Amino acid sequence: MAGALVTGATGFIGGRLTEVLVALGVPVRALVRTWSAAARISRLPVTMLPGDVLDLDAVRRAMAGCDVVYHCAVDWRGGGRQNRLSSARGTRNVLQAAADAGVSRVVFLSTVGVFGRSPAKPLVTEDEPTPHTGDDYGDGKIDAERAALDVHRTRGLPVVILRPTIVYGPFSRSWTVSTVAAIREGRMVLVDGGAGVCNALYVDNLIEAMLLAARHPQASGQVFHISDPEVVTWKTFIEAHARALGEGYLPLPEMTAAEIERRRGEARQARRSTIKESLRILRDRQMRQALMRIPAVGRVGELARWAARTVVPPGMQRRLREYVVSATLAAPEEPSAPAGPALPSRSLVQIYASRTVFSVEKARRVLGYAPGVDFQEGMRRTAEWVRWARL
Amino acid sequence: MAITPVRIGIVGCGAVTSVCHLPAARALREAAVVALADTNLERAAFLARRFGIATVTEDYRRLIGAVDGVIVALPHALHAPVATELLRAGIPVLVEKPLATTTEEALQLVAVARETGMPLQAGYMFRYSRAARLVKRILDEGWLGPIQGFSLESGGIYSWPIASGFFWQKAQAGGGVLIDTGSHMLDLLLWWLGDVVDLEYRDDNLGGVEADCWMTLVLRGPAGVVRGEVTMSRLRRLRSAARIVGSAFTLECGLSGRYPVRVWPTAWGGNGVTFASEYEGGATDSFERMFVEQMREFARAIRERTPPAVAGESVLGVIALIERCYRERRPLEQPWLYPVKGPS
Repeated sequence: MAGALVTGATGFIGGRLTEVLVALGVPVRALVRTWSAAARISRLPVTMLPGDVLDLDAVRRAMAGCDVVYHCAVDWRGGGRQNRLSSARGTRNVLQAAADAGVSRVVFLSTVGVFGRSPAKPLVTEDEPTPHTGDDYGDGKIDAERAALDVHRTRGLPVVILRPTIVYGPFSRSWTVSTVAAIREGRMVLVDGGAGVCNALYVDNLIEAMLLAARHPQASGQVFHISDPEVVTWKTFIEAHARALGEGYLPLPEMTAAEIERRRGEARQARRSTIKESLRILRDRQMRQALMRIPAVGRVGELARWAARTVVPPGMQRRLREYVVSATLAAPEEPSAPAGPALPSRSLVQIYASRTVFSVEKARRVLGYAPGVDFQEGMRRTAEWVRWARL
Repeated sequence: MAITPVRIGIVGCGAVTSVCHLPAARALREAAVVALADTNLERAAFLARRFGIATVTEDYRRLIGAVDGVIVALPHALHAPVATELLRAGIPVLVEKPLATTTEEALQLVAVARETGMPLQAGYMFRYSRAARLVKRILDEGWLGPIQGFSLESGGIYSWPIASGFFWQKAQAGGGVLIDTGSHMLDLLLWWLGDVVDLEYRDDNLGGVEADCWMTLVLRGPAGVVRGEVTMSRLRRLRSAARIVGSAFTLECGLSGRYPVRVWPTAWGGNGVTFASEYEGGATDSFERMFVEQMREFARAIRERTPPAVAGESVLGVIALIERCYRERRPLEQPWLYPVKGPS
């Protein structure tokens, strides 16, 4: 049997895909960027090839003897801009190597994030255009999708683009591990009572769609939304995760999106006042002298002043002073409220408040996508894993 | 009086060399690493620059005659063959854990050490931990009363900065978490509680190496026959502690961070008041200090040409135990591996 290359095999979705492919008897090759991340796939008889999707030669070597390529790699290391560039460049490398090698199918894992965090329409199909939204993750995937369709048109590469939604389940860092951690640490808030739409997708259902996309003759050159057919609210999704920890974690606090925004503003204001007050105290000559009279503080202060004068050049001294002041004054993006639960980030609030449903009608019609795990079963399995993983 | 440091060479420039052995040598006056060998010369040269080491080579045989002792930190399957060759060339050797991947190889290696009279030290550095030594003393002196049972857990999401992929290959690594973390953890249990009487072992290996394993162990020692459980993982955060329950007192030894030892009356249950340890001149312990002590012991063994405290033969028990686990392994349940239907 011809083999499959999985990029991103050390990640959540690529890891589960690799387990399933091995169980189905497919020889798997995995491109591994960080050796230490490979513990999960090390349990399996896979061929691990060192390299990064940003290295075209490494991608070519990894693809040798492969008939199908599942491109799941994503680079979370750098900031947003780095993520966008590497997503697009890495995908171009994979596409080029696949076209040169003449593989029979590339399944590219994109995201519904190509529509931004909160699309305006209540129902979004694959026909909806995808202009850049300013969100680096989504924009990187938009660039990558365009490259994929371009290589399909110009070189006839049989590529399929899947746009999964909120992928949860065992090992899901973004949606299961982080949700459980927020609940356990008392940081979870139901935005608008949790009435927003969670387009949940149990990981095994996505894997089923990927396997269909790899084989279906009509899939080539197509884009598909992949979500569980059953749409749940965020309240249902988050409370199910809380129940995995125990009923004692319920009920969860609720806040409207507007209230969160108001509290965020208050928290920022409160912190600014505290910093201003601290700086005012330090600027006060008498207070400084009083502080320096405390022997330990005095010694540290003397030493620091001496070291700064002796070692640091004057230009750098000035820049350092500027840096320290600006770093102290700059409010982080996601300040926590002075009291009550910590606030979810602005982007998370947008996702929790969204009412958009992503249609999977096309996947159903063209691929015959009819996933086997409903939300109740998906959460039963997830809860089982949460206990095993001691989250 | 100034000490002339023993000259040490290291074969294998992976993570343990850069993170543990080289910093340990830097902290000691008795030993100096003077040469590094690795087939990846670029990696050797990188570490040599970082730690100010004059000699790098692709061929470990070039260390013969140029150093007083060698640390073997290669892929596990190469430990025994390379150490054997070095011992035969008259070089004292400190072999990283596992000493060997099979009992047969380990026995041969120990025999060569005996035959050549060269020190053979096993890199099971937890034996130098103050915490582990305190536990050993408490158990030997019977403070806890008759031992009723034990449990050990060690696990975290794997993040050791391994520099090559050998670690994930059964043929080169000899196995997964059991032969890696288990070499230390099981060695401690055998040291503390006695020899293996019986075991049941399960792991999650599906054709590669195990990332998670669980076992029950029955051990027999001076404290009598005692049964306990061991769980180790590279995929989940476990408690990283060993607990030994006696009829009078319960003891818990932390296996990471500052390695706290706590003792409390068993009758108080699991949440009693705890007592931190102060032992052998220090209230806390650290991973780094264990490597320094191990290196100090190696330098002493080289200088005095006497067997080190943790000699090769002292770890034969744990090698046999690991080998038996792999031989008798049964599958471990993995609560997410439900079948997914492929396209028809």
